[in-house]
Amino acid sequence: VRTRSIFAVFALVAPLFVGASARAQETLPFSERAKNVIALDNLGGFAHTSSSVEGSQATGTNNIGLFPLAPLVSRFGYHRFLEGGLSIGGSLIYSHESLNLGGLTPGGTTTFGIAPRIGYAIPAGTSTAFWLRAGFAYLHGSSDNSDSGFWQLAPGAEAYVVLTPFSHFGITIGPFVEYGAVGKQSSCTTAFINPGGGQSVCTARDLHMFFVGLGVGVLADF
Amino acid sequence: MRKLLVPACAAALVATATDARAQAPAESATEAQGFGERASTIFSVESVFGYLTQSYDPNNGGGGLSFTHSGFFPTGFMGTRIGLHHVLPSGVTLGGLFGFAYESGTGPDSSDLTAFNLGPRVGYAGALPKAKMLGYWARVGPSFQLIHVGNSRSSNSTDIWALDLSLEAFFVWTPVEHFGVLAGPSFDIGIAGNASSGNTSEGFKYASSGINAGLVFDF
Repeated sequence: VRTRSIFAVFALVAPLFVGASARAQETLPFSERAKNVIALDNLGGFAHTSSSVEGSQATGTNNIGLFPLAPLVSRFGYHRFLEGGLSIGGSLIYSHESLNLGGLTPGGTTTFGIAPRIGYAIPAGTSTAFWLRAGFAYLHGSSDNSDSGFWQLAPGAEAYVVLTPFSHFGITIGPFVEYGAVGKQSSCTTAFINPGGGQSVCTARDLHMFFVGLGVGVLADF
Repeated sequence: MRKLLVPACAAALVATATDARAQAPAESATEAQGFGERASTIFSVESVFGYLTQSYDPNNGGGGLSFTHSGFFPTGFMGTRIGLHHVLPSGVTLGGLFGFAYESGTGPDSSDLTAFNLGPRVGYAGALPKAKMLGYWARVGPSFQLIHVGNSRSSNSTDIWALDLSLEAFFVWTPVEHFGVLAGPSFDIGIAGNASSGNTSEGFKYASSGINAGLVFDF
């Protein structure tokens, strides 16, 4: 009778555990269901960018939609979740572009940067989470045919809502900000001192680039 | 009562286990199916990384505008684009690409720019029979772009439109369910285009070529 009772209890409870386990696999929240995240941050939305160079009037732009005209705002990143919702990772920035206008080629520019981030994800249900990240970005730009360029170190942060309607897929929506705390822009001209050749004369000025907006992106986690 | 309960619970356990086993092959079957077979909808983010050269060449042979980009998120009027496609059981895909951007300067004498592009596509997606994680996706269709450049202080504006034929062939790697990476060449062959500003108007053609990578999510 005792054996039958134990078996009866086991038989009654086991299906519940099997079902619960299956449901848990299906309904694990973001940051718990996968460790690796590939993120395309700020593909679109609204972005305000401004650039302030010492001795010059600040310039700025507002962008709405996708961001092909504000490429420094969109970021490709990789993040890894550790225990407890903590994430470490960052974004990589690289582009080289050259323009030819009416047969004139002013030269190309190369932009490189890294934006390490430490983050924390807070589940708010099975398919919604908050993902807060902070860190800094280092940006470096250079010109192909002169010594002109810039660099900047900018603290930044994002506060995304992550929607995960399907496994391995998510949508990120939320504000982002990055402010250039320190940076320099160097403008160079070639001075012809003698007929034999020229000498590059550069002037370095303080640079502060500022990015802020509401971004929409996608991610894949696995 | 106990005599009834034990067989009932045992039957429930067996049924649950059977259900789990039945579900497992179904999931395995889904995973065993490759790109173009396992889902009916594809959401894509394209031209995330790669090399792209674009040109706007006037029909009269004069100097045009061209730019070349390599790296992440190409600049220009046809940058990173979003795609949505439906997959038929035959592997034929029907859908399109979409891009929209608006930029305005914050200065007192600044210009604004609106760029819109739309590209309906018909394609064929599939996976290699012996390596279901490796797929392919060939597409063809027209691409239409509309660009408006204005100025906040004057009525002068420039309106541009261009139509071209787009050809794309992607290799698709799908390591896990619902997610994949696509990469491959793309070409735009200019058909027609026009730029008008005030009373002047000029015909031109848009062309591009490149090799780009992006992400796909299939559901």
